[in-house]
Amino acid sequence: MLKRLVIAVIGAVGVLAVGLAVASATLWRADDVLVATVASDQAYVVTAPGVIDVGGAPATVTASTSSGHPVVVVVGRDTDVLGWVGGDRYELVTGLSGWHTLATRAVTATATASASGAASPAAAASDAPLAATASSSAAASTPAPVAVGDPAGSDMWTASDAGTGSATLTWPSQPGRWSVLAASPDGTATTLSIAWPRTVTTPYLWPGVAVGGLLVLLALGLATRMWWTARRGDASWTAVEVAPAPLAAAPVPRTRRELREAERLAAGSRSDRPRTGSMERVPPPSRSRHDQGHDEGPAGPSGSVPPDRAVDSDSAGSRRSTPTTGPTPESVDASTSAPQESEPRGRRLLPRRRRPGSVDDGAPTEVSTVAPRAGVGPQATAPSWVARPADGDAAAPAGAPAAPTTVGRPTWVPTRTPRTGSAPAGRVPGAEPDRRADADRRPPAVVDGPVPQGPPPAPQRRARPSWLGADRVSPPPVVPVLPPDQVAPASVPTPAALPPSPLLPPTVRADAWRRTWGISPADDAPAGSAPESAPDEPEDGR
Amino acid sequence: MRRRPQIAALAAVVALLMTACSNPLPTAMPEAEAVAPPALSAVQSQAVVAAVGSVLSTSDKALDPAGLPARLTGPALAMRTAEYIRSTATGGAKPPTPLPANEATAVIPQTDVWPRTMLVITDQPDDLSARRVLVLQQAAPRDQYKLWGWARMFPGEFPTTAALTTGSAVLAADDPDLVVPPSAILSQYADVLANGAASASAAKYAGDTFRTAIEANRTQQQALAAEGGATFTETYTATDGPVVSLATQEGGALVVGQLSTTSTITAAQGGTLTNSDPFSAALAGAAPTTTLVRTYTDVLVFYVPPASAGGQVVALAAEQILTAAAVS
Repeated sequence: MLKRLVIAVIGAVGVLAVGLAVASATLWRADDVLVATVASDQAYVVTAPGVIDVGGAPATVTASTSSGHPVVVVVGRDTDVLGWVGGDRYELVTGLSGWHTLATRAVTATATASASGAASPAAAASDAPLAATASSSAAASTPAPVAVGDPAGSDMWTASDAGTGSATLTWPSQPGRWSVLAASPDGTATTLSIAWPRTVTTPYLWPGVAVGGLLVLLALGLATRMWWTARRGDASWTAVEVAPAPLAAAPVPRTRRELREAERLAAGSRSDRPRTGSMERVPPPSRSRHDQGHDEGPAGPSGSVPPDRAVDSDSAGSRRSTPTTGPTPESVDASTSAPQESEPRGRRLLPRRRRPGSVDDGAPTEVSTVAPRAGVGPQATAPSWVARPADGDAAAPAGAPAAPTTVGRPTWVPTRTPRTGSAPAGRVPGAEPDRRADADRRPPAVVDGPVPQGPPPAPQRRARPSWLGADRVSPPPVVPVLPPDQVAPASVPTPAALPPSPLLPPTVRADAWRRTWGISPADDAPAGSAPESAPDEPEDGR
Repeated sequence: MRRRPQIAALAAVVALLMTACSNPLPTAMPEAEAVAPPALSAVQSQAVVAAVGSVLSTSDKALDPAGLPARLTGPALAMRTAEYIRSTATGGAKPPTPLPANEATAVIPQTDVWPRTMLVITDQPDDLSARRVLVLQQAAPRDQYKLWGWARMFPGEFPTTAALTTGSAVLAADDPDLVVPPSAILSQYADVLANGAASASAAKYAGDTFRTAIEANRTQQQALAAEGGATFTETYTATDGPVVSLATQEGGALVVGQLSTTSTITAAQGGTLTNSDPFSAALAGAAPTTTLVRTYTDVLVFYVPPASAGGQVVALAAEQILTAAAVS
C-alpha cells in the first residue's frame, strides 16, 4: 500500500506541476498590455517626465472626457507642457500607484507663484516640481491665470491628437523629458489612460511541464513495474526456487560423487547437465502444487511427485520435457500407458507418468527410437526399483519430500534417488544385480552412463502402440528383476514412489542420450505439447 | 493521508512563486538634462516655417494684411503690411519681398523659457536674390512661432552654428565674452551709421553692404535736397535691445536686432515738396507739402566674434522697409 501511495503521490505531484506550469502561462499569465488610468476632475492632466515611459514603449496615450466634449492629448517636453499650462490648475501624474492606476497630485496655481522671478519679460510659469530642472533664468509667472485653453496645434508638441470624447496617440520612446498633457478645452474633467505593451514571459511553463511530465512518467513506470511484478510474481518465485545446487548437493553426499566419477569416466560431464535440467523443471510448477503436495506430501512420495509435474507443465515444461524426453518419457510412457489402461488403479500415478507420456507423444520419434526400450524396461523395472528402495529407504524419501515442498529441493532429492534408480532400471537388465545391491544409490549412477547407450537399440524395435501392449510384455524381460518390485508397485503406495523416480532419471538420460546422439535442443519443440497434456493429467489425478 | 498537507504546501509554494515573482511597480525615471533641449526639433522648425509660409502666401495673394498677425509679429508684421500697401500703391510694380518657405538650415535656441527666438536660413528665392534669414519668435507658451523679421543675407560666409539636435545656447544680452556685448551692438552700429568713421565705435564694426547702401543713399538724398534748397536728414535708432543672441561654434554670437531709420526732408522756407512716390503718399495718406518724414524699419543680423579671438562685428544680413510716413 505504501508503495502504491508513493507512486500515486508522485503522479499527482507531476500532474500538479504540469497544471501549475500551464496555468502560469495561461490563467495567470500577465496581460500583454499594461493599462494605467486616472480619472481627474481637472481640465488638465499632466504627467511628470518619465511617467510615459514607465511601462515601456511604445505607449498609447488616451485622453477622454464625457462624450460630446472636445479633448486633446499631446506630448511635449516637460518644460513646454508646464509652460503651456502655466498658472492653471492641473492634475500632475507622478507615476503608478498600482498596476492599473496612476498616482496623481493636484497642483494649484498658487504653487507656481513661489517660482523665483526673473527680470525677463517671459510669461512662462515654471512649476514647483520642475523648478529644479528649470534653467537658471526662471521666468516670472504671469499674474493673470490663463483661461482654459486649447493646446492643440501648438508648434511645441511632438505628438498630439484631438477629438471629441477621446483622443489617442502613440508615443515611441525618445530620449528627453517628455510629458503628456491631456486637456479638455471646455474645462470638462479629463481622464487619462496610458497603455504599455509588456513583454510577458512564461518562465515556468516548460520547466514545469518537463518536471511534471517526468514525474508522471516515473509514476507510470513504477506503477507498470509494480503491476508486472504482481503478475509475474509466480514465475519469478518459481525461478528463484529453481535451486539446482541443492539437487547436486543432495546427491553428492551419497552416491553422487561416485556417480559423477563414474559418469565422467564414462560420459564426461553428461551427468551434470541433466541434473541441472531436471532442477529447472521442479521449481515453476512446485508452488501451487507444492502447497497441495505438502498437504499430501508428508503422507508419502506421491505428494512430492506432483510438484515435479507441475513444474514440467508450467514454465519449464518445454525445457524439461526436452531434456528429459528421451528416456524419461519412455519410462513414463510405459508406466503411464499402463496406468491409462488401468486408470482406476491410481490417478496420482497416472498424472506423473502421463507427463512423461505426453512428452513422449510430442517427441514420439525420440522416444520410440531411443527411450522406448530403456523406458520400457527401465520403467517397469524402475518403479519396482524405486518402490523397493523407497521401501528400503522409505525414511529417506519421505523425509526428502517434506523438505522439497518447502524449498523445492527435497522433492528433488527423493526423485533423484528414484531417477538414479530409474536410470539404472532402464539398464537394469544389464546390471540388475548391482542395483539391488545398491538399490537407490550407486546403481542409478552407474546406470545413467550406460542407459543412453543401451536404450537406442530398443526403441527401434518397438513403437508406442507396441508399448502399450508391450508394457505387460516388457515386464517379462525385466521381470526377472522386477517381480519382486512389481509386487510392491502393485500396491498403491509403491506407484507413488515409482512415478517420481522415473521422471527425474529420464531427464538425465534424455540429455545424455541427446548429446551422445547429437540431437539438438530444437527437438524439444514436440515436448511443448507434453506440458499441456501434463497439466491436464495432474488435474485428473488430483 | 500525510501527503495532503504536503501537497497543499507544495501548491502554496508554487503559487507564491508564481505571484511573488511579479515585478515591483516601476517608477518614473526621467532623464536629467544638464542643458535645456532645443526649443524645437528640425521637423518642428520646418513645420513652423511652412506654417508661416502658408500664411504669407495666402496674404500675399490678397495683399491683405488681416491674416498676417497669425504668424507675423513685430517688425515683420509692419514690414509686410507696408509692402502690401506699396504693392497696392504701385499697382503691383513693387510686389512684396519674396520669402521662401523652405528651411535650408536653422539656428535653434536651447531654452525652456519664453520668448524663444530662432533663426531660419531659407533657400535662395526664385528671383535669385539673396537668401533670407527669417527670425521666428514664440513670445509665450500658448503662442505660436511667428515671423518677427527677415533679412537679406549679404555675400560672405555665415558662421557655423551648432547642430539642430543640440541647439544653440542663448547668450545673455550683456555677455562679457564677446567683443561687444549684444545689448550695445545696435546702438553702436546706429552711431556708426550716422557718423561713419567719426563714430567712436567705428573701429569695432566692419564695413558691410547695408551700411554702404545707407551712406550712399543718404549722400544722394542730401545732394538732391540741396539742389532744391531742401534739407535731408536721417537718424538711426536702435529699437529696444537685441531680440536674441545665439552662440556660434567659434564662441561668437549671432545677434539680431532692429533699427529704426527716420529720414526727414524739409522743404526750403516758402517752398513745397513734390513727391513722386505713391508709396509714401499711400503710407502718409496725403501728399507732402513742406515736410516728409519716412520711417524705415531695419532688421539686422550681426556676427559678434568672441572677445578672446577679437575682431570686428559684422552685419551678416539686413532688411530695410519703409513702414511709415508722415507729411506735413
